[in-house]
Amino acid sequence: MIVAMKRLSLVALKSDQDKILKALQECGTVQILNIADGEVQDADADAINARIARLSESIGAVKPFAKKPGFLTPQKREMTLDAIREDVPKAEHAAGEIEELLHTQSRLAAEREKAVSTRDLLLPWQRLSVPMSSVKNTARVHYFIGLCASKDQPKIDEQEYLEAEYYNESATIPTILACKEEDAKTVQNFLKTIDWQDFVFPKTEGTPGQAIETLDRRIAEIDAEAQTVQAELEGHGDTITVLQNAFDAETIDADRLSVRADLAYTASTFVLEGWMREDEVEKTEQAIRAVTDAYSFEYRDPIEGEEPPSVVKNNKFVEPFEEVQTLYSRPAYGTIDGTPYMTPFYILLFGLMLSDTGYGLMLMLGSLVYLKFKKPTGMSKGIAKVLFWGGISTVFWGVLTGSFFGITRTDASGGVFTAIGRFFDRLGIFPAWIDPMQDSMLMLGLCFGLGILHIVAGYIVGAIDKFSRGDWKGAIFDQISWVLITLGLVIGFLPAITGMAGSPVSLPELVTRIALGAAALGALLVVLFKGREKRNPLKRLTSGLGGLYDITSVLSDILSYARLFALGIATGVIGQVFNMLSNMLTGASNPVMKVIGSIGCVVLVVLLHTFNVAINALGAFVHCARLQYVEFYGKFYESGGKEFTPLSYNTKHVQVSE
Amino acid sequence: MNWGAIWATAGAVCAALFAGIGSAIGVGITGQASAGVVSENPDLSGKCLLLQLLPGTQGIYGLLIAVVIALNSGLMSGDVSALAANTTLGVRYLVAGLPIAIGGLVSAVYQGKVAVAGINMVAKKPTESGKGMVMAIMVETYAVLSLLISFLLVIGIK
Repeated sequence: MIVAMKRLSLVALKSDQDKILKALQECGTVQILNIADGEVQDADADAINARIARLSESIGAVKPFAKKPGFLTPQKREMTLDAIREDVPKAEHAAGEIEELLHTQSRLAAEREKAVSTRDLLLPWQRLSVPMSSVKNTARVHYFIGLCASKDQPKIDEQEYLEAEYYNESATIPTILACKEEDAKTVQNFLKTIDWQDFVFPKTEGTPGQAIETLDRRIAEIDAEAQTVQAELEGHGDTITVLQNAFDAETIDADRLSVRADLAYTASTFVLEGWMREDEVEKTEQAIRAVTDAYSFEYRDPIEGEEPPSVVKNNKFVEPFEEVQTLYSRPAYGTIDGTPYMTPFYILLFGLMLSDTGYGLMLMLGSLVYLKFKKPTGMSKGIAKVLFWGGISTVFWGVLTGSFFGITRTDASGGVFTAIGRFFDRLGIFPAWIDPMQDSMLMLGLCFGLGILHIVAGYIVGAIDKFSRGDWKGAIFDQISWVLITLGLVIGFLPAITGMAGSPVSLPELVTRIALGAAALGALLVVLFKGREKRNPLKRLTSGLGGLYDITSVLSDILSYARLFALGIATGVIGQVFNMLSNMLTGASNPVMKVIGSIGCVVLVVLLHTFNVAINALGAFVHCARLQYVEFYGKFYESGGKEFTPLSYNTKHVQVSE
Repeated sequence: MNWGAIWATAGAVCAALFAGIGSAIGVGITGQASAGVVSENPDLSGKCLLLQLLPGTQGIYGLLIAVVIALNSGLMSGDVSALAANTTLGVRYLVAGLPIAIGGLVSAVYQGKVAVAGINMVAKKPTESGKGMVMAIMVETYAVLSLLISFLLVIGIK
């Protein structure tokens, strides 16, 4: 059910603004709209956002050194708002220290990089035995320092006006040339004709060899210093809890402060506009009344042109499935919430895609443990519950189709697996109904049957919705007509279709005639009334005939349910293959090897089945969701609702408790 | 020479090989995209992993058909006399394996591309990962249909 929304206008004194916003945030029921004229600069908000950015950076920096949370610890720890606020000064202090350390770290890294590159530059010059600073032009002598390609070395030697000194024998030779001052021009021109690269000594003391030594010492010092910094940073690993608490406390304050820019102001009052749920009006007003009595609290229904956020409300059983719907899209405000109609089909079809008793039990237990210990909130909580119900359904279908961790009545994996299979065979009630490997056509038919039921239900939901909104034309011509066509054709041609599959179902002639008649009636309704908005009879008729073409999409919708069978088979057969693989380990004749092999077999079975259940549950979850979104919701659902984002405690690490 | 057994083996090989190649490509390109996103935001690794897994299923479907061919034709148990007596049987196994071999190969590659786009979407809007998965699963539909027809044809060979 979609909850009706009310538009709130709250006027109160500026002096009460902080108290009221705090109360509203704690209450968490009002989504505040921006009615401010123009951008407002808020120094407080900027300051707090800077603090949050710093905390976030500190959390990122110390995270690698923090103790990893246990596998079964809750996602968010429960704390009171006051308790996390108390951590703010401590966290500020720690964040300051961490920031300092990070600065030092990056400074050291930059300095080290510079030292290393200088050292690399000087390495070829090690043989130069005079201080670098002494190689400089005098009144009579001009020096050229550079790197010369070894192939050009003879050319330099040929020049009589040049004294050359080479410092090693690599491909590019470090070279110092000396000439008379008056020849400097000539030399410059000569150097342009050969592969010569000018080189400037870095501003370091002493000979290159001494400079390299100094630099090496400096690099070692930097490394030692960086290590102490790193150690100090590691020491801050334990502060992550405090930092996270403070981060959440500051985020809460920042959210509230940012709202101030959305309000409109007079000299002494402020105006707040927003959306709230109809069933939370009372609660909201009470929250305000608790802090002040000088206020005006008015609300009204949304008017034409306004687009209120879309919130759905359902009972506890259906509620988790809202997450599946939200993955697709929220319903447009004022339309219909598909969750309650989709839930039973989702559970039923999910189980059919896995259909294995063992995997169902694993899913049930897994999601229960996850819910109990991790205490997830929001979407993960919903999805865990969906998987729990899916697990129950998987057990149900597993019993009907007789599969337990891939072991079936006719198991041929050998060893203990076949023994269990024989046991199922003797039991006689496992499978309780149908063996999909033996009766694959019957199983496929069952899947199509469920699909037809699903599609028809979609049309009917749409019809009921349109009736309730007074659109009886839409209900009959666009929805009921298709129910008639779909069911009529299926029942009418059932004997023929099943005949092709090899096991014809016989229906009394009267039934098939009535069914085909109903289909014809439905088709007539579509042809005549599909284009009921059009005046021109010819256009109306073409629109109607075009509408009839949708029969192909209904057909492809039905065929889409073949995936139920295919995925069910995939899960079962892969499980069986895994059993077979594991069993091969136990084949040794040597008793010692047999024991080792058996242990390996057990380990392998556990690992492989965990993998299989994980990947197939993911597949079942998404494929089942697709069947809802495309095949079911396509018949009645209007998407595009906006999310309801009330001002509340929007935390990342802490669950704020009373 | 037992041509029937050779054809049937070729069928099993094609199913596992080509669908496996497709999945390897699909999972490979999504893995690269995931690594890029995770390097920016390590918190998204779980969501990226789910998207990366999706193009991996075709390889499993191919393996499944390969095993069913091997079981059904007697390649697994070593009793290939029926195939020796009737070469046509072997050819039928090969042809029945083609839908998942080719359908799996192509759909896994394209599903991988869609999943890469989905991963890029997760990088920008982490809350929308579900939509990315649904988009990728739309491609998988055709791998599932290929699997279905291969399966029905293989178990229909007596």
